[in-house]
Amino acid sequence: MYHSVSETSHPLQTEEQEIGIDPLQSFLNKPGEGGSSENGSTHQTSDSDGTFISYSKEWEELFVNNNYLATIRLKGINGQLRSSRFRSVCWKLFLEVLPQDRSQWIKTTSDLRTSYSKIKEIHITNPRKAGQQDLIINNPLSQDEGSLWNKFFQDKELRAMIEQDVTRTFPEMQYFQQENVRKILTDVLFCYARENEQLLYKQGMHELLAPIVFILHCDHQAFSHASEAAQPSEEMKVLLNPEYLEHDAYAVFTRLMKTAEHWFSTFEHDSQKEKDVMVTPMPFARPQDLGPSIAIVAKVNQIQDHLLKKHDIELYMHLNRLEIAPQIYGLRWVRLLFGREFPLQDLLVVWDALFADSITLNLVDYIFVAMLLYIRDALISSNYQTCLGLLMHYPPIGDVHSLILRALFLRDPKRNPRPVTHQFQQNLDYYKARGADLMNKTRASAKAAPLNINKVSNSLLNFGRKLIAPAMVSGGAVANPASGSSFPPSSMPIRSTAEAPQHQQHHQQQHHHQSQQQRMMKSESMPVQLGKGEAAPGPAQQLPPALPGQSSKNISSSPSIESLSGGREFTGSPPLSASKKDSFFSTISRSRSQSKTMSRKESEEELEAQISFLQGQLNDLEAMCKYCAKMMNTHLGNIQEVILQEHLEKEDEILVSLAGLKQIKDILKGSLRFNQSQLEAEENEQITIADDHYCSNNQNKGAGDVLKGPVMAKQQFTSGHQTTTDSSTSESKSADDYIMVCKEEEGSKSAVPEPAQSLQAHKESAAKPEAASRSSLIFSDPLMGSISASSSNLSSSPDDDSSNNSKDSDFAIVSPLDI
Amino acid sequence: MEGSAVAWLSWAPPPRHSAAFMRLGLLHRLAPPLVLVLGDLHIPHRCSALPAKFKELLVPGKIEHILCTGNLCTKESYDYLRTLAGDIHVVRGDSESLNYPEEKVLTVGQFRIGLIHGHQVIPWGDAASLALLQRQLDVDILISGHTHRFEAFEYEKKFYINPGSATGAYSALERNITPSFVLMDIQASTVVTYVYQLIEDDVKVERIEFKKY
Repeated sequence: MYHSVSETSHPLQTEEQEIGIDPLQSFLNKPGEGGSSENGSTHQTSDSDGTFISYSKEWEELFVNNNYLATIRLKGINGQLRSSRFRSVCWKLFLEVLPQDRSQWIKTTSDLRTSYSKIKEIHITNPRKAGQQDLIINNPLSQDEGSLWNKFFQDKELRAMIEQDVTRTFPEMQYFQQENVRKILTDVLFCYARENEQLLYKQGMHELLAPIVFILHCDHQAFSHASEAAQPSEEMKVLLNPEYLEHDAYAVFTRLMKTAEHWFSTFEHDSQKEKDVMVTPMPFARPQDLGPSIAIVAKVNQIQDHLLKKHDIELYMHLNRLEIAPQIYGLRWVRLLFGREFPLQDLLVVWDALFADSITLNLVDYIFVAMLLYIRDALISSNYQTCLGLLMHYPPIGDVHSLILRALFLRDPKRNPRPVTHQFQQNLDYYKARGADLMNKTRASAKAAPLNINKVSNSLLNFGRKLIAPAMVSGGAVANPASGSSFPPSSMPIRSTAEAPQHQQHHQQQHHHQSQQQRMMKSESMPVQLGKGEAAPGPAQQLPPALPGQSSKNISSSPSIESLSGGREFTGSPPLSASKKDSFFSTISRSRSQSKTMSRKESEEELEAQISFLQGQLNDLEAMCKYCAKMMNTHLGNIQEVILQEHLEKEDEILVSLAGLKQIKDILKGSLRFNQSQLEAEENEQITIADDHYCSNNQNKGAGDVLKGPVMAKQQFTSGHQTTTDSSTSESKSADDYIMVCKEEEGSKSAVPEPAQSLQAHKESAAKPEAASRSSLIFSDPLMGSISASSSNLSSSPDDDSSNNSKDSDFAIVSPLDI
Repeated sequence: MEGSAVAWLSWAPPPRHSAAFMRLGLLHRLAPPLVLVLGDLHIPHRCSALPAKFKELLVPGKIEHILCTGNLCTKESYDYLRTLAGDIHVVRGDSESLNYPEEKVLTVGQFRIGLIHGHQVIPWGDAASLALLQRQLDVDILISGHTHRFEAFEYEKKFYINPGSATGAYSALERNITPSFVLMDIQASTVVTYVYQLIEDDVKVERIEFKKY
C-alpha cells in the first residue's frame, strides 16, 4: 500500500506545502487586485536579498547538476514544480526547446527568437508597404492570389477567428483579459497558422497556448522581482527576458503542437480511406466506427476500446451500453490536454507530469483512463444524461496528483506503486441537470420524446430512495456486532455516530440537503467509499481515511457485491427492516408501473438498480436468519442440558420437541432444505386446526368460568416455579413456550398445566370473550384450547400446530433428526 | 462526430463580448477603413445594371463605408449597396425616387468629408464653385457627382473627388461615359484614392494620394 499520498496530501488537509510564490494566487480574478498583480509587486516576500538567494538556490537545485534532466523530470511527475519559479525553463527542457547541454541554452534561445521575428515579419502583412507592385494586382479590391491586399483580407478572416477564441480564453483570469496579452496570443497563433498552412488555426489551440504564456509570464515576474536585489547569472537573464515572452511562447507552443497537431487535424488517414473503399461498411459497426477516421477520433476510440476495457471492463460495458461515444467528451479532454477539466493550478501540475514524462505525451491516454476511473462509481450508477453531465462537466478533483499516480500505475503497474484509490462521490443531481441541458442541446431536433419520461421516473426513484434513506440510517445506527459483516467492528460505532449528526444537519441545512441525501444513499450501496469529496466536510469525513485493505478497487469490483456488503452492514432490527422493505417495494411497484412507459434502456437501468438493492435486502434477511439460527442453537443447547439433568417424567417428549426446534434452526441456517409445498400443506392444516379449536370451544360452552381466574393464578404460580429452573434469557423463554405447549397436551391429563408467561396475556385476551360459556368442570380443556389457539395464531411455525393436532405425526417428522 | 468544427468546444462559456462589440471594437482596428465612393447609377432609367466587372470586384467584407453621390433612383440599387457594407450614406440626386438629404458631412479618421450630388453647384463641376461650398461646409474632402466624369484634384489645399457614374449612364451633356468609381483608403493623415475605370472591358486602376496639411 502506498501511503505517501494519503499522508502528504490528504484531501481534507489544506494544501500548505506551497511555500514561496504562488503565481496563481494573485491572478485569480479579483477586480480590485487584478491591476496591481500585473507588475509582480504583490509577491509577499519582504526580504529581497533572501529572495534572490533562495531564487538562485532553486536554480542551482534544478539545473546545476550532472543529471539535472532526470531530476526535474522526477519533480515534474511528482508535482514538485507546483511552486517552482523556473517552471517555464523546465517545460522548455521537457519539450526539447532547450537542448540538454546547458552551454547551448543561450545560443538556441536567441536562434529561436530571431526565427520567430522573421516569421512574424513575413506573415503579419501591411498591404500599404508593398509599394511598387502593379496596381492592377495590388489594389484593395483585387482578388488576385498574389495581391498583398487579398492576403490581407484573408488574414483578416483568420485573425477574426483567432481573436474570437482568444477573447474567451480563461475568462476567469484577469491576466488574459489584458489587451497586450490577447495580442500576444493572437499573433503567436496567427504565425503558427500561417507557418502550418495544412492545419491552419483550429479551435482549442488557444487553450494550449494560454497556459504556456501564463507560466512564462509568471517566471518572468519572479525573475524581475528577484533581479531587483542582485545580478542574476547570464543564463537567467537571457532565458527569462520578459521582452521575449511572445517568442518563447511560440517556440514552446510549436514544439508542443508537433505532438498535438495530429489531434487537431481533420484529415483522414490515407490507409483507412483505402480500406473503406475496398471493404463495404462493417455489418455491426457502431456509429463512431463509421464515417471518416480522424486521428483524434481513432485515438479516443482506442483509449476507450482497449485501455478502458482492459482496466475496467464493467465501466466500458456501461458506457457502451449507453452508447456514449468517447469522442463526445474525449475530443476535448485530449485536444486541450484536459485544460477544461481542471482549474488552472491543477492543470499546470498535470502538464508538468505530461511533459516531464515524455515529449510524446504518452501519459495522456492513461490520465484519460484514470479520470474515467475516478468517477467510475458515479458513472456506473448513472443513466445517460447524468453520465453525459459528469463527463462534460468533470467534477472537481481533490488531489490531482493522485490522478497522475493512478495514471502511472495504470501504464506500468510493476514499476509504480499502487495509489490509494479515490473515488468521486457527490450529489449527482447537478450533473444530471447538466446532462439534460446537453441532451436538450444535442437532441433538440432529433428525438427528445423520451426525455421527459426519464426525468419523471428518475425523480420517482429518488423519491423512493428518500423514503428509504432515514430507515437505513436508523437501521445503521443500531450497530449489530454479530451481523457477520466484513468490517472491523471498531468501524461500526464510528460510522453510526458520524451519521447521526449528519442526519440532523440534513434537517437544518436546506442547501446541504441533497448532498447529504446522496451520501446516505452512497453509504447504503458503497460502504467502502473513502471520504474524498471536499464538497461537504461533514462529520462523516472523520472516518478512518483508509480502512485496511478496503480500497474500493478490492471490494467493490461489481455493484452487486457492493450492495451485498452494504446490506450486511445495515442488518437492523427486524421491524425496521420490514418497514424499509415495505417502502422499497412500494417504490418498486410504482416505478414498475412507470417503467412500462419508459424507454427500454431506462427501464433496464433502473431494474439493475432495483436488482442490486433487492440483493442487498436478501442478504439482510439471510444474515438475520443466520443470526437467529445461531442464537437458537445456543439456547436450545442450554435447555437440553438442563432437561437432561432434571430427569423429568416426560423427558422423551420434551426432547422430541427440542429436536423439532432444532429442525427449525437448521432450516433457518440453511443446512436443511425448506420445502415450499410443505409450508402450504401445513398452512392448510393450520386452518383446519383453528376450525377445530373453535368447534371444541363451542362444545365446551356452557361451562362456567368461575374457576378460571384462580386456575390462571395458580398456573402462573406454578409456571413461575417451573421456569426458575430454566435459563431466563428472552430467547430461551420463547423457546420455552414451544416446549410448554407440547407438554401441556400431556399435562391436561396429568394435571400439570404449565403455560408460559409470555402467553399469559394472549391467553387472557383470547379467553375472556368465551369466558361466559365455559364449563367449570373441564377447566383444563378450554384453557388448553385457548392456549393452542393463541399459539397457533401467534406463530405460524409448523411445529406447534402439528404438535397440537397429533403428537404422533409430529414425532414422525422430527424424530429422524438430531436426537 | 467531428462534423461541425465548433461542436466539440461549444460548451465553452459564452464570449464576454458580443459579436457587435467585436465588429466595432476589434476588427475595426485591424481593418483599414476602406470607403467606397460612387454615384449616378440611374438604374433602371439610363442603365440596366452595374458592369459585371465592377460587380466582381465589389464583394462584401472589404468595404467599411459607402458614400453615394445620389441618383440611385430606386430602392433596389440602395439595397444592393447595403449588401456590400453596413454603413451607407446617400445624398439626394436630381432624379431620385427616394428622399435623401441634400448634403451630408461626416468624419472618417481625421478627415471631414462633405458629400453632395452636385446639380446644385453651378456651373456644374466648377472648382471655384465647389470651393465655395467646401468653405461653407468646412470639410477636408468634398465629394460631388452629377457630371458623370471622374475627377480628383487638389484645389487650395483641399481635395475634391468626383467618382463619375458607376454604370456609365449618359449625362445631360455627354453620351459616351466611362464607368468609374473610387475607393478611399484612409490612414492617419493621408488618403489613398484608388480609381477604378472600365475602359474597353478592362478595369484600370489609378492611385492618387492626398495628404492633409
